[in-house]
Amino acid sequence: MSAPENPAPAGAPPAGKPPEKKPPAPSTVGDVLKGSDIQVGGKYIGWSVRDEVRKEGGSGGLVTSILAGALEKGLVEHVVVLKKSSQYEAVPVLTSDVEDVYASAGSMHMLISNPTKYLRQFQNDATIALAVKPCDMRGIREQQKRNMIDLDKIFTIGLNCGGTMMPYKIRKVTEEVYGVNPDDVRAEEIEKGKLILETTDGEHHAQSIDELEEEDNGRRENCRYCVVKIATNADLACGNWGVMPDYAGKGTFVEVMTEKGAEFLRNAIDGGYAELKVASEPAAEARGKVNSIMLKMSAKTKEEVFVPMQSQTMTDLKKELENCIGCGACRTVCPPCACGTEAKCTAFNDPVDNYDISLFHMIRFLHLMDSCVGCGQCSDVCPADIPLARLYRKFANPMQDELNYVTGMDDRTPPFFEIKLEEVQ
Amino acid sequence: MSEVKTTAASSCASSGEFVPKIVMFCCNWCSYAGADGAGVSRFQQPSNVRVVRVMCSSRVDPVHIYTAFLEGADAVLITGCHIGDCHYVNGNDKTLVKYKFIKSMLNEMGMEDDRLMLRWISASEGQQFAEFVTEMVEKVKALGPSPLRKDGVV
Amino acid sequence: MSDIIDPKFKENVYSTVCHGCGFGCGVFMRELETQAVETGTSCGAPILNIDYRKASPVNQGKLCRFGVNLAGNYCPAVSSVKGKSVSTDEAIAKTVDALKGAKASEIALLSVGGTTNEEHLAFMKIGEKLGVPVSTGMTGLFKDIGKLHAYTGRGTTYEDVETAKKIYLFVDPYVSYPLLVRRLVHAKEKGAEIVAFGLKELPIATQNVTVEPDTSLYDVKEFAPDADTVIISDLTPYTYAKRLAELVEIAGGKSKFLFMRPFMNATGAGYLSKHTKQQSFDDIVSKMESGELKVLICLDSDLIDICLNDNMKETFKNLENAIVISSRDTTACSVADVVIATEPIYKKKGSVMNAEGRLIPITAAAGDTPLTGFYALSAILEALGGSALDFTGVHAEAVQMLGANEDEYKITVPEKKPQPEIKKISDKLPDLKAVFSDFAEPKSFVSSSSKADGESGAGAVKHLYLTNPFLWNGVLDNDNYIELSRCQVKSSALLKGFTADVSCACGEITKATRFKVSPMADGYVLSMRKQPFAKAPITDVVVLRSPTKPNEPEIVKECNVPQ
Repeated sequence: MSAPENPAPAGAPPAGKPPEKKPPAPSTVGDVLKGSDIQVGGKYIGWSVRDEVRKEGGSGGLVTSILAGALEKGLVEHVVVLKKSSQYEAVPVLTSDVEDVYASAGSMHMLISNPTKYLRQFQNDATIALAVKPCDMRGIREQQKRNMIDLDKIFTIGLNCGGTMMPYKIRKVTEEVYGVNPDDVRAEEIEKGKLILETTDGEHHAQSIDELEEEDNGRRENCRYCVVKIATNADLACGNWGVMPDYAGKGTFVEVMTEKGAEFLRNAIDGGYAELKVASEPAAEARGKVNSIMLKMSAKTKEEVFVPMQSQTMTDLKKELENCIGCGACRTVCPPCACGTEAKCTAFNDPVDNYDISLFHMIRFLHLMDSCVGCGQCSDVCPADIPLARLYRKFANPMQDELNYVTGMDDRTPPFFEIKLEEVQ
Repeated sequence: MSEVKTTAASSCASSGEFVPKIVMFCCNWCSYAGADGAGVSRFQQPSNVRVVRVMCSSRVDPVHIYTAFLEGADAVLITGCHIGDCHYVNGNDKTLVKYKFIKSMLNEMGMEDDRLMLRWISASEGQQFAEFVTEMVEKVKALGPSPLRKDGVV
Repeated sequence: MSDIIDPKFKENVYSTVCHGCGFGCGVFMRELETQAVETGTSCGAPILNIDYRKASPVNQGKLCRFGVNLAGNYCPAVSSVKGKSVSTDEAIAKTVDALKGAKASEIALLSVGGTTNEEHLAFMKIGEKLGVPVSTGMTGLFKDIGKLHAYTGRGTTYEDVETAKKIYLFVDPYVSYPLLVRRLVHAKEKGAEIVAFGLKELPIATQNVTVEPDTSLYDVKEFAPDADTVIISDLTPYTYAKRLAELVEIAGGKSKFLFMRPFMNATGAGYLSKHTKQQSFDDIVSKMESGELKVLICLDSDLIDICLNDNMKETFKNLENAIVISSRDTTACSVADVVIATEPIYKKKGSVMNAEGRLIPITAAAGDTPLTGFYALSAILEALGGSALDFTGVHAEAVQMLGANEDEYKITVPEKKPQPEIKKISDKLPDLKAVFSDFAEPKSFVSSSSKADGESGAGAVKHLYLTNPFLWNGVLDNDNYIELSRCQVKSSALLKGFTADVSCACGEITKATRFKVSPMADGYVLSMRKQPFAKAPITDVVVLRSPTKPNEPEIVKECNVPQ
């Protein structure tokens, strides 16, 4: 399925690198499972039974086959797929055609879709399945807390995400750093901390992501300090971290997070879409290890970015915001923002006021203190290139840390809506 | 509806001397009566404060506070009933939650800590009210004009 | 909204270009094809949403305020004759009749670049057949601008702006071309010196130089362009020719120019019509007023919206046949005798050239849609005795004429021809007073409505438009206010919370308009929305405080604002 699946993070050792000398541990134990064997909390390794899906889809095409199964067996009416128009461009599209689902197989690190706001337009009128990055799911959960998205109507497959990249930057990098014609790129993959581009002539071109990031050409900044890499907030958490060499590229690690997730997985097995085996103990450990390495790197970047910001004065903040042209795109794309067209931040913001910091930004800073999911969509769309994600996180980090609140991971009430301070803390 | 009441004629500073402007939100049931008490008892207090009466301190929205600052207030004070005495069961508990967020945000913006204050003052505490106002005016005088105050705003 | 989810529904995504201005922002337009299409919006547009095209080389997915609300801008036009809706074929037949019944001198064709190169070229072919050149409104306003064409063309890209050492700004990028702002931000980060020449102080500028509209650039000592300078100005129907000529005379051959355009394909249209003998904008309008002109065909160019003069609607009635070929339901559609409705811009195929000279292909991402606009033009040409047009052929011809390649990621810089010698023409051009003499009044007049402190001249200022996509496209935004300097506010005795009355000698008064205090030159008032008191780019007005406190400010309800 199409969304970032980052097999190995930048600079991290390869996923599931076995201890030296010892032969690599197997990924799975036991035989192929029956549908009834699937339990909530279970960890499995699976793959599609269809050859072409295994070939096209990343890591065995499990996600694609679960979505296809759910659609064909009527568990959901629609699936959101990413429709590619080039290697660098895709848009989320709602479909009820299973062929569209199969066609969307394959991984993409350079496409940053925003399914949360996309889902909202359907007003909970249909049952929809989709694959999401952890930040997308955090947005969906924040919308659900504000009664805008009904989670009962939505089935989500979370994908591990080590970070995404801005399409236009990667296009430029392809030309300038890789020396490859961007239109010749057929596929991309991240492996052993390197971004590998495969061209139509079958050649592989690799560059270290660390080096790319030194020039600010790698992952988006907010991805570099993101704190949720495995989408444990979705119904299923999939990815290829923890897949041992025996299944590398052929299987997907899946953890069942909810009863609904188990139901969809059973459907995929019983319907003859996918095969699963129980993941071995070392496989699960390897997955956790990749995750913790990624998180450590995030923590390091977070310090690099935010510690200098602590000494920032009001003048710096005014300077950052002086080029705002008041387009409102940051609010339009913001996944947790649930107000709709008439909102406090716009209703009280009058273009006639010439405040140094507009009321719009002041209110948005406050509202996002407890609800910012750090997805970076705001920075992506800002026409004045204001580092909005960084500014929102500057205000959100201390509050969310103090309240021990990780936005969008569970059903906890947003602290700003709490009645008593004790419940907040 | 809230009612705007200036405690004294707001004279425009003609000299270059800094005269702080302070906006104060008072809960109708406790602090506003406290302010009344301070006046009736003729406690000495500076005239820099503009009082806005609200039905409950929890009515004070972040928008009100930010607007006050952006319009040139040097400090914003919120007063309400003591915890447990709220006329509307738990209004002041909610005030505390909001206050926590706004305070944290203003701190991150680089605003001095004393520019936003929350104090519980009951109807009988006229003395405390006058003392609070005096204390805050002194503090703000020491701090100087607010960094959010626009140039040219008197 | 419950009928949105129709089991057979289909969602189409189109990769298109924003029609707000000539910047050329890439955007995805989603169209939900359901049974509920008719109920999508009140104006009959389908349910539309934008998506950000993050791989676009022009804007990298970023959009301005106009672009973010773009989906509400596609109220479809309806084919009609004399206000009665008819089939497109009937409207075409009526158009052909009108053209056959008029002499070449009684016909004018206008296309400012509101549509693709292919449609513009097809329109030009109709013009050739009729012996009437297609006017683009841009090169024609002041005839001598055509001579400067060699300097106003392609060559400077937005990337060049980012790497420039010195940038001279003659536009307000925040209002007029918002996507320029980020390019300037990047340039500033790299140490560029940005000098803004104009009335308003811009935060992006490292230096602000007040230059009044009628100041000669020869007198501005800060204007010292050299080889490292990029000069950003714009070419609109209201560009002051003398200023433009001075720009080119002083900096031409030395510095780089980037000329922004207000219409989507104004650059492309300008290039295609480069060698034709066009009628100027003023020519067309004065011929309309005198009744000399019988037939006017506007191709996706709303003369009424573009014209700052509100009387344009009345002037339209002087025509025997006002024909509008339009993809959107604009102001002109309501007064036109014949409307030929075409497919919306996002469904069009072909190419658009932006201000940099980048040829951007626009194609439907999903499926083929009939090109009603192109084939309507072809049908007109056929009925006039020409041969039917083939889209592929016209497309190839347009690309060849533009000398560009079809890759939007690469800009072809046309072959370096020996640059013509710059002749000093600015002193021969009329000055500002003369150009707008019909409208400008002596500064000392006092509006009849004002009972200003007895002092004559109080609050007398010059009104200027801050041109922006909303203004050109006739779309209302929450920009219903005027901008003044702090001193001017004091001299007009305006108070916070109160409003202002603006009046001009022509008798028009805008009552109770809101005002904003901006860092700008005294003696001027700026506005972004069409004002009844301002009939020209520059108008003398009087601003005074409204006698009473205003009622609630007007709230603009937009047609189809996406969530």
